[in-house]
Amino acid sequence: MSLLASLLRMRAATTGNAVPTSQLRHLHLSDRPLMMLPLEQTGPAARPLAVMLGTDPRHPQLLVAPPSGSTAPMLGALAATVTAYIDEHQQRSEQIPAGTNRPARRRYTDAPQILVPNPKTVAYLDRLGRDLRFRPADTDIPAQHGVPRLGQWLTHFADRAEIPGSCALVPLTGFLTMHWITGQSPLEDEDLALLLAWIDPPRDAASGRDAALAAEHPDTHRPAGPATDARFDTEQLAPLFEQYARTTAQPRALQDLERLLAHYLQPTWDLMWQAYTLLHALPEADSTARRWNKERSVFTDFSTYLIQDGRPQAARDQAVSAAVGLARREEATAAFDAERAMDDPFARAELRTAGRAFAGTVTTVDADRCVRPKARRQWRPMLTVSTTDPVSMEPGQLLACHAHRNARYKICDIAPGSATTQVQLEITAGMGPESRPNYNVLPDPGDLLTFTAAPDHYRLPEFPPRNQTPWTHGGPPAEHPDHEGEER
Amino acid sequence: MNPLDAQLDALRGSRPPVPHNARTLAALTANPGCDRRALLDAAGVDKDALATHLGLPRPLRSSRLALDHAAAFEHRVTVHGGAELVRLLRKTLGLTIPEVGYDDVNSVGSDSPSPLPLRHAHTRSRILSAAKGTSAPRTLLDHPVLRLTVAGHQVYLEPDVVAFQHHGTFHIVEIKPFAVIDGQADSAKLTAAVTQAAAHVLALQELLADEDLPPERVSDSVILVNPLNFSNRPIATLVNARQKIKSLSRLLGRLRRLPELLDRLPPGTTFDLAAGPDNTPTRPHGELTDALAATRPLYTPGCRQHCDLAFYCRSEARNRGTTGALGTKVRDDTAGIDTTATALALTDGHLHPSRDQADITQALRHAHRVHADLLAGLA
Ligand code: SF4
Repeated sequence: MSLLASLLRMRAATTGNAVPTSQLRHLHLSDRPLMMLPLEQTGPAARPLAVMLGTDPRHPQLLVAPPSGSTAPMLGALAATVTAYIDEHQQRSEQIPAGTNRPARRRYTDAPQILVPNPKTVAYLDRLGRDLRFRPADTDIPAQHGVPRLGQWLTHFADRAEIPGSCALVPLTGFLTMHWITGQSPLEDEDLALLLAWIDPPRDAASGRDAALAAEHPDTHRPAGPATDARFDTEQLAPLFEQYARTTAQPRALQDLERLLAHYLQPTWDLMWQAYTLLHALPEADSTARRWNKERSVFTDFSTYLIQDGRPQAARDQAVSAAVGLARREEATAAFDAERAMDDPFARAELRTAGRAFAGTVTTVDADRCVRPKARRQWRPMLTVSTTDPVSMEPGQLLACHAHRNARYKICDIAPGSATTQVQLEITAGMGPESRPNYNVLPDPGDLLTFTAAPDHYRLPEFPPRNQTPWTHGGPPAEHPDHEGEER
Repeated sequence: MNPLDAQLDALRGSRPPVPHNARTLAALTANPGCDRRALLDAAGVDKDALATHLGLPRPLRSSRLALDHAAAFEHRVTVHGGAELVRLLRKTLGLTIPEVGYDDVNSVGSDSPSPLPLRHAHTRSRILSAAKGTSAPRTLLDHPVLRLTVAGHQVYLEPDVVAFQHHGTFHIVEIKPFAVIDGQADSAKLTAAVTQAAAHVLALQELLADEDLPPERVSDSVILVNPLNFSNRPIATLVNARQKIKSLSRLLGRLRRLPELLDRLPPGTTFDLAAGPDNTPTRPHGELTDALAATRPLYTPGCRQHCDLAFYCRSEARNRGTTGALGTKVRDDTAGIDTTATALALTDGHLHPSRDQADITQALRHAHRVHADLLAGLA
């Protein structure tokens, strides 16, 4: 978050209405996402209570686990739905020609996308995936075959959710706050009902703030999970659980539980689709499609891995896999930030307030300048930009500009004046080959441009090849025999 | 009764005090700068009852299911004379004694109306005889009761277990129902558990120091017993609590300035709920909010996780336009400016910045220009 974001948050708090920020969608949004709204039972780690899910807003599927005893039938049904959804995206593929570092390959033309209410649900799916992927496949009951595989998929999605710019598993609150700023705190923004009340208040509400206050009323407010709230636990669930424990009343208690949870989840389910509609209306940024291609490649690779190897991902990040994961995340962050800066005027505005960019008017252009550092003459045009932004960068800093993505500019001199600062720039890349110079790269005097710090050239460090890292050597560590003698 | 106690009693009113416990002490460390909370807790005001009477949501209500789960896990660990616990501690602490004594202090004084002092006396004599080696040491004390001085007050604390290594050190053991998955636990829950354990360490150190025994005999590594992964089998982990012990004891030191805070209150300030004959509070809301207004809060959105008054303080902070109500990022970005109204007036040029506000004002005005450019489609 930038100073600009803080200023807008204060404005929103004062007016009572959310402020739109980025108006370009940086994450691909599927036409048929799998909406998933899970609840976790209070107490036992990762034990599911219920999941509402589906691709049709009007017909969600509700799966409910019994308060005690085996959750396997419910998880089997969940695995069936999720696997069927994933299968849909493995039907068609396209040929990708060989690139510089990859041979020609096939890639699925579509990929699954799971949308959940909030970041806590992402963390829950990660835990659930960790639990399920090491469960022994129960060969006796075909309906539960898919459970360990579901665990692998959930782990995969949760891993993707850590990568900035990935859209495989997205928490809707985080997605919405990329595009709007509310007048409440970021912590309160993690409550989907409150966030949407600010962003898209009901027509009869006087303001987003009023709508959020109304949405918070304890009698009607539903937390979007995965935890249920204490009052609901104590007043509604606990009596039903007790009823269930008295063996004779089990089927009745389960029916009551289903009815209760359907009622509890429905409002949040509707909010999730409301969020989807808002996000869907935003136009995509230029680089969104490229990131979607990448997402489809990752999906294709993981599908292949499951067929060819299929061992569960390791229980704990070991040194090498942790380092690989960290490096991948850093690379993805740098790439995502850089692409947003090129695509999105709001991202550039934030960078300006963070001292990572400045905007100004081109005053002079020396189009013919050449230098001769080596034997050959090199075309190195110069320009001067006059800016009222504070320039906290140093000469030598390399810059990029949204007007010419591939061009690079080096700061040669910074001359602060009383009201404006004159920055002298040398164009160092993007001029094309000497034989066919690209004159388009030259701005005209009077052009208004924003220059952002060029992304550091990021090279993924070298790691041992994948088949030699412990990453593929899945399986719970020997001292953690999770499921033997388990009572659940 | 000393004058401080009398003042605190007056502040609380007719209800019996809600004593500090390890959980409330841990919560205090989450927001040590809040005078309001320091005062209310020292006086033993029932903040939950106060919030309920004021018609506010109760953020800290506990879930029956969570309590049941915690009790079931603790039972599993301590049942049969602590068999499971002994096995775990043998492994973690390398206890070698074949026979491990187990003493459940829970039952002591159970027919007394106020069993805590009795249980404390029992605990004290057991611990002292173990420390002095005068009797066959009890290796495990289940549900002991310790005493800690908080702001000049004695408060009773109940650790789950105190373990004693023969000729060695005492260890505080906490039995917690949150899972440790692949060696990792929920960090908020872990922090709370270790802070609570730190309070117990301090109390045990106090007990030894009072008898001129070296407080270093209490280990600053505490033992957490949690469910392993997705099972309900327990594992024990030795956790270094030194940092928490230090910060908690610093906080307790700060609480000694309580008399100063009390003196600043207008005379007659009280949070008495004035319970009627059927025990329902009758105190007019206005009087209570006036009393609250006399104390200085330090609201952050995180208050909701640890304080019953979070909703009250939030609306107060929002009405005042306190920057902290919008989160720590906004508060830090506008450091030196208290309210959004001031920050925006400075941004829009309706106010002239003081010298120490000059830099931040310049930055805010720049941010405003940048946004104006954006809206105008420039740059
Ligand atoms: S909610 Fe209020 S009383 Fe409680 S810690 Fe926060 S500011 Fe202090």
